[in-house]
Amino acid sequence: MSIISDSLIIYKREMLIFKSKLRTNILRSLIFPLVLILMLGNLGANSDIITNIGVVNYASNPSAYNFVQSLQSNTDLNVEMLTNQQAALAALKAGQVTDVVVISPSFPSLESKNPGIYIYYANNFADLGNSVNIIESLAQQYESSIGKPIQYQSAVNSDQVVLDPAYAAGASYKTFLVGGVIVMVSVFGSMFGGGMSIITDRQLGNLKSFLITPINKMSIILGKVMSGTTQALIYGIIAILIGLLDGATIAMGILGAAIILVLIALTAVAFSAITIILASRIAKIEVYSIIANAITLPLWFISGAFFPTSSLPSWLYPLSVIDPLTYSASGIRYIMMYGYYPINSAILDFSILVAFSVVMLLLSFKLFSTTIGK
Amino acid sequence: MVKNALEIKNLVEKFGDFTAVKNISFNVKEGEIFGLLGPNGAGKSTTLNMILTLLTPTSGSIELYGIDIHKEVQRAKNMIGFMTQETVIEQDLTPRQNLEIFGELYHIANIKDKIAQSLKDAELTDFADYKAGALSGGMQRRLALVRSMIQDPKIIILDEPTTGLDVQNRTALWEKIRSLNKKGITVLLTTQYLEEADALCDRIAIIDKGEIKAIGTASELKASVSSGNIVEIVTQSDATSKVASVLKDFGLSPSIKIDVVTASIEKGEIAKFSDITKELIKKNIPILGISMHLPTLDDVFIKLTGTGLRDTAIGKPQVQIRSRK
Repeated sequence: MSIISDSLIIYKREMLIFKSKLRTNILRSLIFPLVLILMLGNLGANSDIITNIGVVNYASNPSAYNFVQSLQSNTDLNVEMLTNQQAALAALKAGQVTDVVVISPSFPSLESKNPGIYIYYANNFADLGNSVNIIESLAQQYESSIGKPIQYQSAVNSDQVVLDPAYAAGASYKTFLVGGVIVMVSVFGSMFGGGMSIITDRQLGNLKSFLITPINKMSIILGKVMSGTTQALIYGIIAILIGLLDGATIAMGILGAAIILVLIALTAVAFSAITIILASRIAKIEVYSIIANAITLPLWFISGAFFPTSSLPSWLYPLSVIDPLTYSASGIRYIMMYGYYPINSAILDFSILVAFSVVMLLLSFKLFSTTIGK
Repeated sequence: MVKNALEIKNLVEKFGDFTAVKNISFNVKEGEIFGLLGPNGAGKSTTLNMILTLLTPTSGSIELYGIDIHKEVQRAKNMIGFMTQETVIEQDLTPRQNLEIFGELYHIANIKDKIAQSLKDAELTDFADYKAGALSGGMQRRLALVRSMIQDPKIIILDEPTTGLDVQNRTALWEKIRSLNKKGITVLLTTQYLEEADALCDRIAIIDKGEIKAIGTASELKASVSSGNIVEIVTQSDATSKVASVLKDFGLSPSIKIDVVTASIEKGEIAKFSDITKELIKKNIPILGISMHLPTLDDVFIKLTGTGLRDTAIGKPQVQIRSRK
């Protein structure tokens, strides 16, 4: 018999156990999204977020001066005047400001080929699009007051900067948070379905019972990973539903929801494998819980699940780049907030998640077969 | 001639510098119930794990019906059933689901028929769809037994199968084991209960510190540790000293345990037994029971493995006393 068919038997066993404790499992899956989305999500929606923006004014005319004044007087923005565009973009890259507004000498411009304002954005959901909305809104007010159109567009300068001013427009903190919660419950589902079940099976002697049957050892791992992934998907769907019921949105619609499920599945495969790696080395469930949480919680925090990665200290920011959860969160955010998933970002996110999953899966095979599965 | 079901030759298992199993050899004959006895840490579990292919021997060989089990692992696994001392069944699943999962893991054809038969054998047909965790200890153990037999193995390894069971359930499980054996299944049994080994096993090996200390039938082992028989007299607790005194008069060395006085009699002096009985009656000492028998397996076990406790602890003491400077 093949590894796949044996894996499906282990998977069936895991899901029968999951089903036998369905009430407990559903309650467990509800707690985290309910607390975070309903409580923190609504708190976040009402709180004031002050965003640092950098402004470079190359236009020496009263219109530009008045526009800068209107930016400075807005209570949600903390405006830092910078001398030139190069310094402003350096500050953007360093995470010191969330957006850069460059007012060109031609401001206010009447020609689309020669815009009056350039807006640069950090591609890390730095302020959930709030500052963009504010700048646009102020520009529109200014536009109407002078009776002339102001054209503005952003420009691509580096990987960290995106050009689309519509980015995240209209999205709420709740939607932002739901994306992060989906990522986290996926990881939790993996923890319960993957490594934790290995430890309990080992403690109860079930693992030995499996190992003396003629099935391939790898099928035990695969079955557990499939179970962890299924549980993660169930938890993820529950989190999405709670978020939607509470007012979050999936800007990309049904197709977006389907892509979110694929992202959850990829994340869950990787983290089921990670927890199996831990379980191969750890015999006590208490120790496993501590170490699994010590690994997954920081990864979750630096992934931008709770708050934008630009808010991270400069020493922590590079870690978010190598954190696989950052890419799950990124994909889910694009779909939920942005309304479309740029192909470059999708390729990056999926490539990293697939590669990470494969590496973790291979490592889990190796460690399991050389330790407890020996 | 009865052929060997299991042949273990010069088996050694080392864990770093520690040798858990030291060059042991024994055979289990087809159709017999073979007991492997030994104190904690004797090497029983290591030996079983090697037979179960969970451990690879450092050296030596294990052949099951002529096949080297570490060369033909998959084939060997289909021939071995295993039931461990813990009741390893899925507590959250029903007996039917328990059997179904393991039937599928062994790739059994006609699985529904097999499950129905196994449930019947375990007398669990009426409880097939209850949660296994809700069944009594004896029922769980019977389920574990039929689950370990789901693939119709040629040999079944029972690792302390009756530990923790009450007398009724233990006796019932013994009957199950005997009936399996009557069907031609070879049984390799480990147990802490020496009377269990005495009652069930055709032959017994005693293992200690990784070495086989003795091997044979229960009677052979008993005979090997004593040149005579044991006289056992049950009396009233206040009369034990009088009984002991009579035994001393006959040149024996009695020992007293509450209301039981025992002493060894050499084979050539068995006639003394009737004289002792007459003397006790003559002196009007109350006798509740009197018998003469071979030593028990307990005597054999203690003689071969010693009386020292095998106390061990893992890790460090939880409270450490700091010396005051």
